[in-house]
Amino acid sequence: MEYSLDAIVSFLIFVSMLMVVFIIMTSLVTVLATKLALSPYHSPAFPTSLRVVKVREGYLIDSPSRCLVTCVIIKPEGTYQMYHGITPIRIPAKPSDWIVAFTYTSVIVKVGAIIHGRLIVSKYGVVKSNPLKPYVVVEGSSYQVIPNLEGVSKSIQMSKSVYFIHNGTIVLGVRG
Amino acid sequence: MNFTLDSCIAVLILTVSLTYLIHITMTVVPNTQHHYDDSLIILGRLLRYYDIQAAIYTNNSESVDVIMYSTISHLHSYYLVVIDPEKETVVLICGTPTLSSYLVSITIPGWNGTLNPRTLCFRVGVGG
Repeated sequence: MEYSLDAIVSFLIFVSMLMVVFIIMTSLVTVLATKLALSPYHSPAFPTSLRVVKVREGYLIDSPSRCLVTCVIIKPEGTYQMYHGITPIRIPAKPSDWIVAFTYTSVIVKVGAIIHGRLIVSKYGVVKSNPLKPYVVVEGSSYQVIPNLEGVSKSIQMSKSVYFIHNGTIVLGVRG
Repeated sequence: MNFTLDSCIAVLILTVSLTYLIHITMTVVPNTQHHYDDSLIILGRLLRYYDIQAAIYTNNSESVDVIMYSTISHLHSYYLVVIDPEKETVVLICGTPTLSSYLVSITIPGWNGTLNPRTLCFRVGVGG
């Protein structure tokens, strides 16, 4: 009987200590997981990803999920056409045309022939003043997406959200 | 000796269960905070455009769906409930039901110059 009592007491002490160790280990794992989750963003990106694919007659704007997209086709002479629809959407553009496709938070550009002058291309077409971001500035054979996401990770490292506002645009943070 | 072995096993099971419970509790609490910020950011951005209001006021759930997925990552889902606060009725439900908790809510006053308030309860997150 004495042996059993001793054994029970010793087991209780052992198991209590084991429980404390488990709790400490769990806390450590939680802290490490949280630190990993809050590690710096390695590639901040636009939330929706569009892609332009060449098809038989024109181009196809595609995305991983069905989404509403606005496409602006800019001809080399400076005129433009707009298409509005749900992906995948086929647009009758030529290889020499510029294609700029927008969602509410993303933009993708297919470069075309050299354009004379400077064009500001937004979700609402070619505009004169700076529109709601994101938008694209096309000049000659080059373009610039506004806002520029390069170097964003340095300024948003402390953010706990997956989505955050950067320079007037929603950006998706990918931690690594 | 048998009694001791039984109690040992029982307490071990209890220990593991308690540890698991604590772990789950500690990992779930911070996640619930994230969704509020993300949901408000997404909803705030969408309400700057006319399209989402048009989709809501015409009860067009298909339109709401494609508008939402043109704003959020395809790896995420959303849940949106539109309520008429005057009649206290649910007008529209869209998205993934697994995200139906921890919703943020915003009331918009009307559309197209009419006073016709709608309360939007929304959440974006990983689910379904």
